This record gives sequence, structure tokens and C-alpha cells, in this order.
Amino acid sequence: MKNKDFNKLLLLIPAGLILVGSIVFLYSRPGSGDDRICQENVAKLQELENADIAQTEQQLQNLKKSEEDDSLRNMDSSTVLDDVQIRQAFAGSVILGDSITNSIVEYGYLDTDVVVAKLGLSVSGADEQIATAISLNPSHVFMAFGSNDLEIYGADSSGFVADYKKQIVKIQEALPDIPIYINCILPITDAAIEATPDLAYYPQYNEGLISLCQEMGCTFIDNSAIVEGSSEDLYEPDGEHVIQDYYPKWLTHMAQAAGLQT
Amino acid sequence: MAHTYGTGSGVTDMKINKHILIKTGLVILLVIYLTALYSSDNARNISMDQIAQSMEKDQAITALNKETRADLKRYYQTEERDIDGFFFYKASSPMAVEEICIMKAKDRAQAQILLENAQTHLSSQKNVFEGYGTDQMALLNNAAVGKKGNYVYYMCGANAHSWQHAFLSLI
Repeated sequence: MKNKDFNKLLLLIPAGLILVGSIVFLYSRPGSGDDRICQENVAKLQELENADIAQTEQQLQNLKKSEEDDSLRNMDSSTVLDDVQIRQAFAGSVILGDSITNSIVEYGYLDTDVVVAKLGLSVSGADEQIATAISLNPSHVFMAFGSNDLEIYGADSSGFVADYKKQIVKIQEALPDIPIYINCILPITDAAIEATPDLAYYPQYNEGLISLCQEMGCTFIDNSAIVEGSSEDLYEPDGEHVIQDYYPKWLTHMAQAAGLQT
Repeated sequence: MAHTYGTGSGVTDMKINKHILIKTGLVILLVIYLTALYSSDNARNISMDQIAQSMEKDQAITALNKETRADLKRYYQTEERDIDGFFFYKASSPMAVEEICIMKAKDRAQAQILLENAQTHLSSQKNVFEGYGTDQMALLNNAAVGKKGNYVYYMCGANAHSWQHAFLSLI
């Protein structure tokens, strides 16, 4: 009996010590004032964490854009699609646009079963071309409007974007699962802008198109780097249109954006 | 006396001579007219190489892009192998309308077809640029499209009529 009691006592002592120690520990913690400081510190840490992420994300995006622009600037014969590859890549797609787009056909890269374009076409005047594009039942739709719209809408980029949205909605309603890609308005030379001041609004129009793409679930394709920083002057004398050397690069870029490269 | 003014052979002869003269005169006029008509569309038979050699002295032409038989097919629906040669320069930019094309048909019937193709090309160009480019439309409206003998030409640009004059003086 005495042994059993002793054994029980041996077990109880450490248990008791642990219990007492826990109680002592809990009551010896810092008071509510220290908790507040702790919470503030935690909040600060979270704020810093979030800020870092947003900044880091922005930096990553800038880096990606910079890499993409470098890639566009450095396009050469090894990276640019050849004539056959272009035709293969865009088979079943549609490219809508104005005279700049029309030159794809004029230079012989693609035919009118893919390119639906007309000289002088504005986005609001493209109802017929939109209907034609829809009737072709394409797998991908590329749009490239804006050059003629600058002189129509002038400073009213929102009006241009609103009309562009209407055309996108038509396509989306008719072809709900088809991805749509919106090409930027190419940079315009200072000389052309001096002759036609309304052309200077193209950056605002492009900003509007970026927002529109985010809203409508489309992909914005920025081709500016192809002409800017090119060792060759890719502009026609009018400072708006581009020469033949631009087109394989543009077509390659569109194919890359849409994952159409074979 | 009555014999002179009656139904004598003298008066009748005069009438017959007068009719013969009139008919002969009309036939001669007709022959002259037909000859003039035929010769106005006649051209000297000069090879396209000779024509090219002469026309290429004009730098305004050689500044344009020298086009191939594929372009001849594309713009004029004409196969090179079906005709007797061609001379074709065109502005490289799709936004420009400067162009000179001379085709030599194998016969007059074919020349007429080539002329129609050239006129169709001009109409097509006008359709493309109407409402878009006033400068281009002005050049297109002033284009020289025509036929002489077996030669058909399409000339568009600031120098279109001087080109036309130079070419026609060759043939």
C-alpha cells in the first residue's frame, strides 16, 4: 500500500508542477497594452506584405513588357514567320481593319478570306465588315481600327472606345467563345501630327483600348515596339502607314499573342 | 431644136454621168474613210524589249517597282504566256497609284480583251480609293488607258500623259 501511494505521489508531483507552471506562465504574459502593440505590428507587417506584392507585381509586369518590347525590337529572320508559316498560322482566323490592315493582302501575305479590311474604314463604319467576319465563323478575331477614327473623334477617345465596344459586343454575341484581339493604334510620326493635329491623340485612344480589353475580356496587342526603336524606318512618307517590312513582324506578333505559331 | 430639149439621148447621158460621178465620189470617200479608220489603229511592230529599253530611260518609271508575271495575273488577269510580252512598273506602296503597264497582244481580238482588263483595273482602283484619297483619285481620273494596234497600255501618275506620248511615238 505504501508503495502504491508513493507511486501515485510521484506521478502527481510532475503533473502538479506542470499545471502550476502553466498557470504561472499564462498569468505572467504582458497585459492588454502589449497586445495592442502586437496587433499594430501585425497590421503593419500585413500592409507591408501587400504593398510589396502589388509593387512587385507591377515591377514584374513592367519587366515582362520590357522583355516583350525588346523581343519585338530584335525580331529578325530567325524569329519572324515566313510566308508559308503566316498563312498556316492565320488559317481560319479573321483580321479586321482599315488601310493598314488591307496592306496585308496587297503585299500578298494573306488573302481576303482572312483579311476583311477597307481603306478609310472607321470602327463605327465597319458594320458590313463585322458581319462578313462573323459569317466566316473564325477561330480567332483580330481587330485593328483607329487610324481613321482619330480624325473623326478627335479628342473624344471615349466616343471611339464606346463605338469599338459596340462592335466587339456584336462579335461576342455571334461568336461567344471566340477570342478577340485588339491591336493598338501605331505610333504616328511628329511630321504627320504636325500636318493633322488630331492624330496626336493616339496614346489616349490606346489607353482606352487597354481598359476596354480588360472590361471585355479581350487581349490588347501593343505593336509599338516594332516601329519604335527599329533600326529601319518602317514608316511610309505619310508617317501613318508602314512599309512592307513591318508586316511579317506584325503578323508574327499577332500569332504569338494568340498562340497560333506552329 | 425640140430634139435637143426632149427625151433625147443627150439629156439622159448627162443624168447618167452625173449619177456615176456621185456614186464614184461616194465610194472614194468611203474608201478614204475606211483607210483612215484602219490606219489610225495601226501600230509599228516593235518588240517589248525595245519598248522597255526606251521607256526605262525615264527615272520616274524606274523609281517604281518592277512587277512580275504574277502581278500581271493579279492586277490584269493576264497570263504572260498568253501574250507577246509586257512592261510593268508599279508603286510599291499599296497607298500609291502610280503605275505603267504595256501589254502586247497576239492579235486584235486579244488586244480588245486586254483593254477591257485594263479598264476593269482602273475601275477597281477608283473603287478602292474613292472617298479615301483625294490625291490618288485625281491621278486615277487622269489616267491614260488605251489601245493602239496590238498594244494596250495603262498609265497612271503625274507623268501619265507624257508616258503615253512617249510610248505612242515609239509605235
